[in-house]
Amino acid sequence: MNRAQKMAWFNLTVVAITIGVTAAAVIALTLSDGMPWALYGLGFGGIIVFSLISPLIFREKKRPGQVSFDERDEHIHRRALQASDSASCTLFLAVCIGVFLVVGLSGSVPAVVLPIMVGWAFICGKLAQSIAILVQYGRRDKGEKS
Amino acid sequence: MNREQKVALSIVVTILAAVVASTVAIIILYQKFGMPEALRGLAFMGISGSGSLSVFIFKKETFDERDKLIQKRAGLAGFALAYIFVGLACMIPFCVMGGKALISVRWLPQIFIGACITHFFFYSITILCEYGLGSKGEKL
Repeated sequence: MNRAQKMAWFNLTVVAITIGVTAAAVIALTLSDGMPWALYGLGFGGIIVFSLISPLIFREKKRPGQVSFDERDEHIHRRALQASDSASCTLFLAVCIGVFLVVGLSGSVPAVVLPIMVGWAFICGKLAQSIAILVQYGRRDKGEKS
Repeated sequence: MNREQKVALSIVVTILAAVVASTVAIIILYQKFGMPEALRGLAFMGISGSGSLSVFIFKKETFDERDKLIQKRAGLAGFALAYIFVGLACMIPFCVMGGKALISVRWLPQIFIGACITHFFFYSITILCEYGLGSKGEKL
């Protein structure tokens, strides 16, 4: 596997752990305290920051004369970023409209909803980016090593 | 100027006109009615939507790999700055008012509309920077 594939798998694992822990927290809080206090469990979305260390974990091994990042890699990364942008945007729009429809025109929401929305838009973007990279490169090793 | 430059320039001009109109309206309304009624002046930001009509005004022409690459770069730049806008628009009220404060649900679609305007503004700015502001012999 090349570096991008390894990082994508790592990010997917972190996203899966984030979603799992958050879901467990929301369910536990729903059973103990009910809504809307259970939504504070969404704060566990902060676990996604561990995905930011993936470039440090999978450092680029520079070998003399070897091309580590060519036009194909750039093209794949650009497409993955576009997928990430679209996913984040879609989630943000869905949450904005969903809250608007549920609460109604004259309703209010706690201010804590705002950073939670931004955080989960980032998580959704990271998930889409990782999937896009793995779909374009392939899930497994195809002889590419970096 | 080619078509992309003309469309980008018209979007930048309409958004700037909308910002100026909204600012003037907010100042006038603030002096008469104070906050939060003055924020109704933000409705003038709707003028920025008229910039999108330029896509129909300027006819489609040839579109090569360089144009595609510039458009992709502009799209990514626009999104990055829109994301920064959303981050600031969400975090500033949270930090100022605190987590337990309540905000009107009407702010949510307005944040989204602000992000869209920010995206298109910086998308157009990037297009103009990449192509250049004036004509460099390209004519369509």
